[in-house]
Amino acid sequence: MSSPDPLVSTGWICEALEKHEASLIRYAQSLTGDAEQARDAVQDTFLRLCQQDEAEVRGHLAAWLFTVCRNRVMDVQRKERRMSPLSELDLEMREATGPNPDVAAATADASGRVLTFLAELPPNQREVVRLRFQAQMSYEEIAEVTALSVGNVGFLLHTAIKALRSCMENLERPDPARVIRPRTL
Amino acid sequence: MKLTPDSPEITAYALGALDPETHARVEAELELDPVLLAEVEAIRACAMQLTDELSREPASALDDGQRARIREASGAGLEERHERDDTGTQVSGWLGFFGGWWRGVMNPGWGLAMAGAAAVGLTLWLRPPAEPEAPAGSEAEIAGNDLRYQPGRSETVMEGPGRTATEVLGNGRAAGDPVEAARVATPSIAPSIAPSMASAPTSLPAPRAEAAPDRVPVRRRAMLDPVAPRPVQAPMVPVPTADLPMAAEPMAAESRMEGAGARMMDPVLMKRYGLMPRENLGLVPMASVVQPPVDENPFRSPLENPLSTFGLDVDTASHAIVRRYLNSGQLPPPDVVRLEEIVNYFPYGYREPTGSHPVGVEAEVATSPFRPGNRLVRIAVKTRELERAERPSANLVFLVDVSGSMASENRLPLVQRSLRLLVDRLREEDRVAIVTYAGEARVAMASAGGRDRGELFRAIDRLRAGGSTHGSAGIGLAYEQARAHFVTNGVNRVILCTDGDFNVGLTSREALEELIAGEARSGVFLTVMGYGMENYRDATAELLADRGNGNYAYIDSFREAGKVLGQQLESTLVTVAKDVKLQVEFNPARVLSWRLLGYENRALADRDFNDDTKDAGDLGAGHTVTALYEIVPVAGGESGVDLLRYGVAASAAAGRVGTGVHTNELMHIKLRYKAVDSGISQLLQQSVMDGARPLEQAGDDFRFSAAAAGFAMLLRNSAHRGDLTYERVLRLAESALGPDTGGYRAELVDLVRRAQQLSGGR
Repeated sequence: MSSPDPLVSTGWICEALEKHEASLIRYAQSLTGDAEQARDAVQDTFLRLCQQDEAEVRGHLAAWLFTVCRNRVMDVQRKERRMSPLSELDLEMREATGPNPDVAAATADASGRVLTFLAELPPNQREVVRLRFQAQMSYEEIAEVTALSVGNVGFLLHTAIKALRSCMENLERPDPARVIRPRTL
Repeated sequence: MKLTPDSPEITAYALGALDPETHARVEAELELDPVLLAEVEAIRACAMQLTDELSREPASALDDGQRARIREASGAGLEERHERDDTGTQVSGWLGFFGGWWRGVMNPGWGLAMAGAAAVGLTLWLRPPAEPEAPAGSEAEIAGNDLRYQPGRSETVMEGPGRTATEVLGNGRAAGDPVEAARVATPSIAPSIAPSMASAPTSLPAPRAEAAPDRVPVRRRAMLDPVAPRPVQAPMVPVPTADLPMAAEPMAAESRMEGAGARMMDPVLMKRYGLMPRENLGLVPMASVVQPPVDENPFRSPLENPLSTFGLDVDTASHAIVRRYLNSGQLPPPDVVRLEEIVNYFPYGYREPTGSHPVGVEAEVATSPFRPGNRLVRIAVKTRELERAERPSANLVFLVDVSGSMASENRLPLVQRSLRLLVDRLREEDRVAIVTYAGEARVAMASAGGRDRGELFRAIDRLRAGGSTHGSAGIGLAYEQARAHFVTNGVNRVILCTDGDFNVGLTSREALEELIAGEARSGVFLTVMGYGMENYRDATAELLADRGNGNYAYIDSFREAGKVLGQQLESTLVTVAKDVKLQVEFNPARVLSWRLLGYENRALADRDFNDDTKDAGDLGAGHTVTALYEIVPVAGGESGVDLLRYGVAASAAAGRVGTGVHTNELMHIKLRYKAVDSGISQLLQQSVMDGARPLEQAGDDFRFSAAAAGFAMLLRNSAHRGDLTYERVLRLAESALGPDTGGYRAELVDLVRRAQQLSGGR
């Protein structure tokens, strides 16, 4: 009784939109800091996709979309060079992520903490971390999108994770119950 | 290359991003460096947290105008996607994009659950009671077993591994064996039991209201974001957008629902007690709430019971369950404590088999930690290791329960983390598909190769829990996927991830078992991974895994997922020996009485050892299995079994029985296994000479396995615990930590301490 997934069996543009819309918007928003601009960039990206031959992007669709989206964001930023006011939606979302460090530190559960620290990293590290762990891209794909070398990507990821870990470890107090005193039989 | 914690290769390795060759090189170097290994683990933990948190980050969606522009440009009539699914249970995410009515969609599981709460009965599947033993010395019992130490009693019927199964079977049945007859006549399923809270063990944790604080933001995001938390299924009730205030209304509706749910009953409990609606009442709920009690093996005299026969077991679920109880501040109920699963949880450095057999067996004897004067015999079975690179390619299908009860943090989110972990370890030629079931089965991700890692990750991220459990055709669909991409000479496996309360859409358990066993014969095996504490152990899940030549693991934490799907992935996936059975014969000239520790529900009739049609456990690559016997030697010692006054014991007094040839032997071990592609078993044999060294001189592995067994005996209030105390177990375990890669042994020490505190320092 296999029910064909309607999302898989329909046109490739729809599929691409279904699969990548959310992560593209997140990515664009992390670059622009603005939901409106992010949506515009993603719209433009998909409009560009519509002009592509499917065969040309097949196999590296994600990298293609992110690259185009990134260029689009850069273009716009270059043109505008100004801070856009936060939209209402944007404000609400920021609240929902709970970036307040006091709150984050006070929560027993570690959830939300690492994002707080992520925001402190240099932009290029932040970007590769998002591409890797949010967009789930391979090193090669990240290199393609960011126009860095694969080695560079590896270095940035390594450095970013190291920094995040040390931030997290500073938060955690050692648990005395885990200390084992060896005794003899 | 010389790696340091500063090498970016460490991170790339931890993230599974290296090419196979570099990966192997790094791996080789890591093996030698515990600091780097710890680094890898820490990186993975951090990566997992990043993935977790980033996947929950809200995203806005394109607005209708933007969508329309794309639609126009693509030339495709995107609106056609408004079509409703005929079943009325599946809603494509597209619907929400256009009409905006998604804002009115609520988690349907709650409403349905309320509606159906009173309607449905509950069937509990109980493991049938242990088969009564055949009378000692009956012909049926020892048919086909040539007794080494008691030639007068040998009843050799056939010889050699080549005997056919039907002969043996025919033998037992033709003789009108009452045991066999009884087994055939007894239905293997207990009658259904009316739903009753009283039938649940009293030691179950109290129903908890779902932890609200960390759920609120999730729901809130659902309001803001029509894309990310897409319900797997939702009622087809379009709500006119124009009348709806943006976010306020649905949120209020949802919190009302949540409040009502929390007041009435925890949905998890509702589901467990069969209170979920089951549209098709022909479906059989397979919940197993009651844990069948395990009767501890007693001491037996080799004069009456010369043979000990059982199937090997590599399941380790009990340890995770015990840990879960202790970490939540409770002693586990004795019946969830399976000694062999606790002993086998830990990695041991047994010698790898050499020669043509993929499995090897060794034995060691030392003084018993339980009673002075007794001996402890450890039988160590080890299968050949398989490097990641030499593993045959895998064709895996994950069958994921996405019903409403899977929503809590230690279920579906943990399943997702487990899957990401596994996908990280895939090689390019491996394939993975994901089939989900809740109200309906669907292919969430058609079989994709390791190259499409990104696609797999996105499919995993899209999994959402919601709805009731009707896994109609779920398992059938999963096997269909597996067969469609069958890899000859490869690993073909369905991996079922559930919180245990699953029905899989077939009308009876027999039909289900038959399906699974049939698929196993055609080469698609089944692994069951249990998630969530409340259905703490599912005898059915274990049984199904056994039928499917598979294994059953209980995943209570990300760390455990790492063990089963990370470090030990090759063992989990690749079976190297099937139907592995062990038979030990004790020499009455040396052994006054013997006792097998654990494996109670793995016992086999002695004659089944040579019967190749009788199933037993399968071993994966690099598995270690430990069996412990406590022996009361003839010279001195208390067994609790009086010497027999008449009969054979008379000769025992005068130098016991035996041929005189093997009198220095304590016991003789026989192991049967089938090669993966064979239906005929191979026999391995090993004699154990008498003579025990002091426990203190035994190796770390020996002492640690004894400590783990002792820990289980104390938790079970074993009648045979003798002088054993938690303090003694603690000292024994601490003295035997060894290198302890992964920290599992240190963790046991922690657990023993907790148990000691909880039991009042005994």
